[in-house]
This record gives sequence, structure tokens and C-alpha cells, in this order.
Amino acid sequence: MPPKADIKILIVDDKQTMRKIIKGMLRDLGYSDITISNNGALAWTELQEASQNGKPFEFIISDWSMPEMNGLELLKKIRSDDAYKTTPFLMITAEAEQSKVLVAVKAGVSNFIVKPFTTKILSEKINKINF
Amino acid sequence: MSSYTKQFTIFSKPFIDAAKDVFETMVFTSLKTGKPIVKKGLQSKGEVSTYLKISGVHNPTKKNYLAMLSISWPKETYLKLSSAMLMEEITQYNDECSDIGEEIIKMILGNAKKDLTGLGFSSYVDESINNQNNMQGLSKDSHVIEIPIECSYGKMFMEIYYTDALEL
Repeated sequence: MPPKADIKILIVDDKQTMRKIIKGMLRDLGYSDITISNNGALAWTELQEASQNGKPFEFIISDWSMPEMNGLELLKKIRSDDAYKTTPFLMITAEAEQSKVLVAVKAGVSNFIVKPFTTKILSEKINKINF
Repeated sequence: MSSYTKQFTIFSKPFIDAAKDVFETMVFTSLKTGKPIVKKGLQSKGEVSTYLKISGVHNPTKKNYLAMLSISWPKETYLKLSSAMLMEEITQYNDECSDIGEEIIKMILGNAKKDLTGLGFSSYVDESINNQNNMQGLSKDSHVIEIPIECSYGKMFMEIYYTDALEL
């Protein structure tokens, strides 16, 4: 079941290229309330501010490999915050190593997507998440 | 075929297969690879280049290896593929598109890793370098294989260096 089109989404990626590509794909899928963040640390600030403003993010899409705070560290941090304990979190990785997947599942990831991916694959991954 | 050539061929194939997959999925073009040649000198043919230094262990022989993977594009090809990937027209090389090459080459490595592991190569990225015009750190008599590639946006070149004997 796809989430509603006006869901509040945060994209976290240190690479401008991927931020643009993911944002473009999400727009093609009909999502419009999209915020982008350059790394986990900045994303954490965005998440806290949104929560304090009473409009927390409803879906987080994050790259795994980033400077400052990587995707796994961000995931662990948000899962320890009451406002984001159950917020759907889609992790993007460049490789599907089983050990990595297990660590992220244990930390509470909602789904995984391995680069490269198409808009269709992104849509399928999102639709498999329970919103 | 010498043992070096055989090993090199085995090592290269996952990168070529991964490049085809990455370009078809993210850049919306298929790749046609030409005949590999031993490169003369280390200068890249394209104006925009991205390099990955890779190290690891070839488990069957228990030898450490060092490798370099590069993709080099004429500027026109790079701008066209950037436009396709970002789904907007890019007419000049700038911050908007400068990290695309690095993203592509990292995706290629990530995609190739599964096959490399199956062939007994563990692999670690040591460093990625953007917009350098040659394989820095290699001696000029190093054997670098250049694979010419054509796609719908124009020509590009993949370069691979592999050794289990030399320091980079």
C-alpha cells in the first residue's frame, strides 16, 4: 500500500547527484513534500526541528555511506528518539552485503535499496514498507 | 595467455558487467565495449575522469592486490550523460554535475563486488579521485588496460590497472 502523496519526506545523502536523482524519482511518483539534507548530522538537526515544530518527518530515505554521521548511525539515533521510533526508514547502499543488511535490520531499518535503481524499483521498495 | 593476463581478465570482467548494468539503470543507455588495448602512457583520453584505488586479497592465491579503476569521458559525453541521469539539461561542467562520475564509478564497484567475491577477490576502496587526468601514483611503465566504450551519448574509456606485486 503506497503512502499518501503529501507524506513529509527527508532525503539524506552527501552526494548532490543522488539527492537530485532521488528527489526527481519521488516527484515522478507523485510525492511533493520533500526536504534534502547533506549528511546524517544535518539530517538529525532537521529531524529535531521538524519534531519541535509539531510536523515531524514521516519517511526518511538515507544513504548508508556519508561523512559526519553515516546512515546506520542516523538510523540508530532516530530509533532512540520517541518522535521517530517507528518512522519508516529506507536505506540506500552501494552494495548488498549480508552482514550490513543484518546490522541495519537489527537497528530497525524498514527496507533497503541497492544502487543502481530505477524509479520503479524505488516505488516497489516504498510500497513494501508499512506506513 | 600469461597468468597475469588471465588474472587481469578475470578481475576486469565484473567491472565491465557492472558498468553495463549501472549505465542501463541510471543513465538509460546501453554500453558497447570495444577491444581492450594496453595503454601507452598514463594520460586519460577524456577530459573528465574519475578514479578508484582498490585493494584487497585474492583468496585462492592468498596474494594482496592493488588496482585502479578509471572512467574517462570527453566533456560532451559527460554533459549528455549528466543530463540523462539528472533528468535536466546540463550544458556546462560545474558543481551540479561534478560528482556524477564519482557516483557512477562507486556504483560500478558496489555492483561488481558480488562477482568479485565469487571469484575470490575481497575488495576495499582506498580512495576515490575526481577530475584527475592520469593514474597518479603509477610508474609510467605500468600496464594499464584501456577499454573503449560507446554509448548513445558518445565515447568513453574504462581503464583498469591490476597488480599483485607492486605498491601503488
